[in-house]
Amino acid sequence: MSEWIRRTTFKHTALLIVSLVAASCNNFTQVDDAQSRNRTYVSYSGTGKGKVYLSNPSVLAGKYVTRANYDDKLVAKFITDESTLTTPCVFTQYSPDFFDASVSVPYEDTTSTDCFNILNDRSASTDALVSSNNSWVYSAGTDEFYQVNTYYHTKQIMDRFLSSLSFSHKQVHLDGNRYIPPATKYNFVDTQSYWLHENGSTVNMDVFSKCYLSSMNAFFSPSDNQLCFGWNESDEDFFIVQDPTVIYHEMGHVFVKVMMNQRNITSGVDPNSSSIYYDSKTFSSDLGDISYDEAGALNEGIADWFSYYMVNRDQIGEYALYKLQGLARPVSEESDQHTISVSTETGERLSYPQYLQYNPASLSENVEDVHNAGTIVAHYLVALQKELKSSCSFESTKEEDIHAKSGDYIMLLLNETLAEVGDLTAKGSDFFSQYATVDSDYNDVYFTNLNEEHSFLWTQKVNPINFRRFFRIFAKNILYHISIDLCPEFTLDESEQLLDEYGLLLFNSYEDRGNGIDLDGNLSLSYFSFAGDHQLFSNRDISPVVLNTFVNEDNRRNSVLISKNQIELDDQITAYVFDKQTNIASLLAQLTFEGENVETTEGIAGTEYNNSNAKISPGEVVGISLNLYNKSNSTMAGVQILGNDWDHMKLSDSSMPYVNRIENINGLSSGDISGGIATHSPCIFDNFPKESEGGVDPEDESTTAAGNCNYITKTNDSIDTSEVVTDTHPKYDVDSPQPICLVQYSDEDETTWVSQDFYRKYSMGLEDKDCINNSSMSGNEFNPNSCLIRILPGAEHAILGKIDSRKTWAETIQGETNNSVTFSQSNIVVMEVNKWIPPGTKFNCRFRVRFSNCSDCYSESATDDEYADFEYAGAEPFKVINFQFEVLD
Amino acid sequence: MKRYPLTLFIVIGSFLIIGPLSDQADYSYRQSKNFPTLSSHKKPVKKEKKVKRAPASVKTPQGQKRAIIARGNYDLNTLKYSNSVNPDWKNTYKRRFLKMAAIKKVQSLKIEPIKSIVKIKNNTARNLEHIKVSYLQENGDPFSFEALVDSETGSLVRSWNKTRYEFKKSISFNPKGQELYKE
Repeated sequence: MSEWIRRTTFKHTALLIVSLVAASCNNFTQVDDAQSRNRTYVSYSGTGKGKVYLSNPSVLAGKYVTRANYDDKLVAKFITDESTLTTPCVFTQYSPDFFDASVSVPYEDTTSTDCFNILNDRSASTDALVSSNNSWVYSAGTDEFYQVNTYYHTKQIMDRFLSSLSFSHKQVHLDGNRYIPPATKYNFVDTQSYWLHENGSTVNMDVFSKCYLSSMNAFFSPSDNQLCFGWNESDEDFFIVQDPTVIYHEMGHVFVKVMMNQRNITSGVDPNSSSIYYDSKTFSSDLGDISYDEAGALNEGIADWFSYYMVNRDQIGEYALYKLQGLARPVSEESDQHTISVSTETGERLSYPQYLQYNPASLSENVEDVHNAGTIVAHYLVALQKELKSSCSFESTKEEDIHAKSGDYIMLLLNETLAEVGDLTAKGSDFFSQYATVDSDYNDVYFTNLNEEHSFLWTQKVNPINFRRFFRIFAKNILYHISIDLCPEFTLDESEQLLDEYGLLLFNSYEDRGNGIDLDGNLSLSYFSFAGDHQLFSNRDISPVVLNTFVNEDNRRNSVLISKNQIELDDQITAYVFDKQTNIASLLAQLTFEGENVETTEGIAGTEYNNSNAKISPGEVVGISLNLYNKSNSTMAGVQILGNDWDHMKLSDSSMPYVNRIENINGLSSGDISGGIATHSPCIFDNFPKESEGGVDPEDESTTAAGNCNYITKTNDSIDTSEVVTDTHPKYDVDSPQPICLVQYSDEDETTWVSQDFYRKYSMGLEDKDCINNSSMSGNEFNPNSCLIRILPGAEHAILGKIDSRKTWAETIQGETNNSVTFSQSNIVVMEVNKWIPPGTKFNCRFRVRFSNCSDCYSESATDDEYADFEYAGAEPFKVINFQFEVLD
Repeated sequence: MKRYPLTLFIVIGSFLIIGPLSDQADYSYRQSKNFPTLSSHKKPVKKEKKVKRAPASVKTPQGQKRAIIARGNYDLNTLKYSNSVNPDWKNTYKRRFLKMAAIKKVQSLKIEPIKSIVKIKNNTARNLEHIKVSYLQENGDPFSFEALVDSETGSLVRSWNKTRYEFKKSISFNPKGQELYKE
């Protein structure tokens, strides 16, 4: 039996004895489970108590078991005085005392409605369990018993989370040094953003303790505000909720959602009208897509850490995961559940990217899975907490107090980081909010996720949260909130060394001076521009640094950074083309049902044209997986392939901005509008296309002015539909992002690469109605520059988990044991091909590629300063991959 | 004759309510049930006559609440619309969604309107619908997400809040024979 089980068993036995003594002192009689409910119920009536398991059956038994046995393992605990298993949330927010701002005053806020309730199952006829005479005691193994236990553990972690959140808020806003502007919401109470929201109001989450699912599973549904803990008839005695670490893990996903979206509710005063202002964003940020990506791995790793936060053990799921997979899930190298040789010694940690596909229960398979990749995240967070426990000074010397306080520290770091990366207001802090500061100068100030218009696109697709972005911001928060504040004993060097042990020291600069923009004049901003007092923050100021802090390169030993030039298309197989009708139809169905827009243009392209010849043929809808080759000597990871529109074309004449469509042609000829139809030329990147092939060289441009190839759009604005004279007359923004595919055009004199609009007009004479995504589908958003080939917006980016040195992704998955290789939806982008394209037409699609451990994808090589958000609309942060193909029958 | 004072009252009343909301320089959200009555809708574009779209576009019904999401200055009196409200938008979206139902079954599909939105940018408005989509997958397990769809075309603009299953099987593709060789 392992040491942890021995310790835990002893602890719980002791707790049981204490609890029994306490119960008898209070004139309560513990009643055996086998006895009738009536007798038990009478014994506990009026107490609000029930009998609960404090841990999972394996921990309670002191060994790994596959059957739950609660004999002599249950303890009486207070559940609730409510008549049903429901509770409002209570959050304490501190604010400066009115008379003495150096003193913080607590205010206890309670949600106006319950924040969660327990139900047995999802059936509409399910009623809430009602207590009789304020007792919650039920026989072990009954549905009622599991509802009570689910309530108990959900409430335990909920209370713990809100306590940590309260600490985080007080620390970063009131007690801390404020060298960087806090991302944490300043006024949680006004916005109620310490809990899940719907249309500006907190919600009551349904938690199902016996939730029927086709296979043993669990889910969090943020749109329905439901947590489902699985059960089915294949093993009637197995309930997922029997393992409280699974409850904590799932609640971890809920807390991630809360923390990521805390900034997406604004309250304050509108500086323009002086009226009270309240805004709740319609949509919200998610950490991770449905299929594999690093954001999803972060979400899983953080959720695993939340279990550790509650149980302080080196593995989780000792019952549920052991039963399902034969092993618990380790969260520390000190766990005995590892099946490889890892340890806390230098160089032996579970590091990135080596162990991205590590699954202790199945070592032979190289599977890209968010849980596998998330194990690295959990290990790092647990290791960091252990480091803080051993190095920081705490008021108490008790292990549980130190675990709790160090857990608060980690929560602060997670909360600050998630608040910043999930911010759809794009402010990054309330210090830059015009409503919090009542200063209209801040109307167009943005420090994260580009701007309010495109923040969703940026945080979810263009610059999504990968390991690099997350841990750079997380490390910045360690620097300012731990190393030079709460725990000076944990130095910056130690922080960098620990990150490096996990291969996560993936950045050069902490970017602690900030990198923002004021769109009113397109001025670059740093935090220092906002140093000083702020009215709504009780004259508390921020004292930002002037220069960025850089990583000490001596600390970078394991974390390998690779230049973007080390990735390229394989020189033999450039891509895998999936065009089997049934496969692609299934993929489109899957994506559609997951809420992605992959609708094809009826009559112009569709799977009915797919011919299964592994070529790109007219009318087809094809899945493409670029066959990227890593020519470096190290593994590259988190490879992101982007097929969305970007700023790579030059509007030939800014006085001729109108989209080439019939309304505009008519409007120009009738004199309703003046100017001309737009034409675009491709800018040259990496010497393609050459000037002789129609490319425009940014180097030849004498000034950096809007519209030039050397100028990147600051707003990512695309088609402007504001001009209405009888009809709407859409026109391009001067630096509008454009679809990625160019066409080769030959005339008597030369061969050039041109826009699809030019080609359809001058080579094919194709009308608007025969274009892909024509206005019958897209209305005024119709862009004829994707008339022939279009990457479907719901499948325009792909992820390759890692590519080993001198291999392609497929070769990496294949490994040395010749594993079979399969591609999943996360590896594929989908394009539709216009049926009118003449066979033999050549295309060049300019995909943008980057990866997480890239040395020059995130910061300027000359200064090491991070790229500003707007630059992700251009080429610099990416390797432009020219994928060329010929459309063939 | 009796209608004139009432009309005058509504117009003045609407102006008093809406007037102060115009000319905003920020990104804000408000509810205004009077808002659509003063808005000018674009005429259907000429193209629309040629395409097969069953329901005609109509003005937003009077009294219908649409939440305003705005960025930059706008004036409700001169606001231009880049789309109009198709009263059958929900069915249009449903048809688009269920196009794939022959490939993969969904059961108990529910499309629940949450709110109607007018998104304003540069004094141009776009009508959108915030919906929640929920259904049972082929294996009977539930799935749901939220989305914004275009009020005229019923096309999906963006989605979020998707159900997060702990264990999920993805569609897989065998790459054998699918190689595209360099020319």
